[in-house]
Amino acid sequence: MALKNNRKLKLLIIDDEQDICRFEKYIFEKNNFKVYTAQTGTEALRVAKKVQPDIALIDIHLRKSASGLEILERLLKIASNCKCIMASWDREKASEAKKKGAVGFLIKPTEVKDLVGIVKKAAKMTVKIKR
Amino acid sequence: MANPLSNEKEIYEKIAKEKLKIPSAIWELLEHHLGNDLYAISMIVGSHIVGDEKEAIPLEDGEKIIKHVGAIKAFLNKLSNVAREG
Repeated sequence: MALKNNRKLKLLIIDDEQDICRFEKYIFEKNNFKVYTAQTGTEALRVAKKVQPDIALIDIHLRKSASGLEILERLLKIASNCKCIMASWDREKASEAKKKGAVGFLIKPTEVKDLVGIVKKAAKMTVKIKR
Repeated sequence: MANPLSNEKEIYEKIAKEKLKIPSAIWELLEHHLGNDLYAISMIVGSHIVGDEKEAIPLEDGEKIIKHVGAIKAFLNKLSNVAREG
């Protein structure tokens, strides 16, 4: 997806599972996003500071890293316009995620069409989207 | 999709009637392990067959699916060893 100036929307995927990062990246590149991936909170915040993503898809349960909810709060301080979607198998985290500023919540496991749907919905919240 | 067990309806009725619950520690393990591996499989397959540009699943990605199925089996064995009744 692209903005009015034809710049592709930047999507940051944060997940500690290498396969998930790789295949989500492939899926969203086919959907015309510019995709960045990170497998830890430190890496995610470094990438976010550098690229200022439009959208972030953040797994809540990251091993050997800060939790996705902590990353959400810190990421929004670095990239305040970023639309963040949290992903978890634990649906009870949804209200906490929304309180902390997430615009969407994805319950894992899910199918590709639902994943793409929720990210495209967040993309539409980006004000300068090309129609 | 697995065929339902011949007594599956009765099993669900028993669970509801006796208010059987899965302990939260076991539930957390189930959702974490099954959730991640199933999600990974869904992404691997879906990345090739969902959308306008459908394509055959490459051999190396088929091998990744087998790896995730193996991880599910290993997890269920481990859980069965510590938590199965009887």
